[in-house]
Amino acid sequence: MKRLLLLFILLCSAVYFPIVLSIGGEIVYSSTSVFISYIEAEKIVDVISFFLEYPAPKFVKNEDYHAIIFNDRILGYDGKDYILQDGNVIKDKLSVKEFLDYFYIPYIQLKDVIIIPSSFIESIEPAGVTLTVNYLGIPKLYYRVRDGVLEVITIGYTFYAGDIYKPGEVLFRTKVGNFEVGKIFEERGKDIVKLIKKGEEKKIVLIPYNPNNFSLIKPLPFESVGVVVGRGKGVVIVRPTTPDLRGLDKEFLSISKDIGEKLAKALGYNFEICPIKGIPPASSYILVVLESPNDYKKLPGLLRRLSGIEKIVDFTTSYDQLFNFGY
Amino acid sequence: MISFLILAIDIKVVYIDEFTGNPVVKPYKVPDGKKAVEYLFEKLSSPPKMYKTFVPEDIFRAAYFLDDTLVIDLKGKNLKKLNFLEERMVLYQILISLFRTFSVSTVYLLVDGRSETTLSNFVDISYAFSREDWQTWPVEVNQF
Repeated sequence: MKRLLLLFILLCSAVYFPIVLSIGGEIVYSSTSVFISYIEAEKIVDVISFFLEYPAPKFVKNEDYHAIIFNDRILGYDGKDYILQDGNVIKDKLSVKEFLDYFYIPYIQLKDVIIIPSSFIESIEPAGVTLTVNYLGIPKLYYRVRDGVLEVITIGYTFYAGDIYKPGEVLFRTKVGNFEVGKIFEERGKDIVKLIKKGEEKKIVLIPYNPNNFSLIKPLPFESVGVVVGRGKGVVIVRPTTPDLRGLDKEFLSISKDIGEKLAKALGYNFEICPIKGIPPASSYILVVLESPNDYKKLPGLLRRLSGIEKIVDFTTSYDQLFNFGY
Repeated sequence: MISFLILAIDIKVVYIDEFTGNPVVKPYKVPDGKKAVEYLFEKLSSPPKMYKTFVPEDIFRAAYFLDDTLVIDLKGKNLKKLNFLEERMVLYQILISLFRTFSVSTVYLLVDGRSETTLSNFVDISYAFSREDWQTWPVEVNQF
């Protein structure tokens, strides 16, 4: 991360950048020249390998000869010229794009911004009621079933099957009939999507807030509501939409906002729109910070009445056991 | 290129009225030689009499404009001690001030160059903030 900060300091010092390099939308390098120096090349390759979980690059330094070994390629530098691996071609200047091409790093260019995808999908494997997605990097994927078809939609810039997909694009479709997205298990380098049969009963799920563990916060059937509960100064909070999700989260916000506002009124609490850690986007979850044991007792009944949903699954145990947000 | 545009505009800064607790927008002219975003953060942390702020001093690191997106990088060390309420109010004051001042459609917040993080402890800044959601104060007050 220090390396990244260094690049940001570099960024601060420039006023106008003909070239900005970004990984999945996060700026990692900018320059007043389209050409890069050897030192910059070392830094860029370091940042790319860090973000995308490529094997770390090796840097050779032998008197006047320097080299970067990365992604099965060697780029030499003699203090004046670059020495390319293929036929020992010598170039006195190397542009950012030539540099990325040389190391087989995919990118797209939007005006002056070169965007490297933040994740590389290695495979998407449907098998029965399970879909497994294997990846490198930081995937931002959204799964939904529409008209009996499971769609994998990218929220960030993602490389899959030879193409770069922009946020909001569907990168994979498969027919699933009368199923919908149930649970998503996220492991390192892998998402496992479990499908469940449609028509599950709508429910309200009460979950104690735990700032260090969000494993109970899982995808819910559509129109079900997740209520994450803590204690402190009374407030009801729902997550705002984000342009990153290109409208996919709007329908969820309308559900959570509707119940959140009613609940805040009923409890005499403020209602706020704010992204809170652990409350996922594109989900009908709300955070309720309760002010008293009495409000805790009232909560299930109030939710039932305000939402019209009968079934309540309650993972909380008592008011005193709830996480204390303080003021 | 962007810097010239920034110098030519007024900033609009959101404070909290000490008596009513309501948000108030105050306009300021950006002095010659000052950058608008930097000046906005200076004013955010130093309210005039009768108003208060939750925004700590010296939290601004850098700002970048890319088309209609504004990326703000903040100093994490000065945000560490915020409580839950203060952290939310800092976010609200910053976002409403930025969207009232600049005609960008999206704001990204970074802390020490990182976006996959929280502002202090609880407020998640992993995702972009849209003008659509942050033109109005995001608190509805309900009191018995």
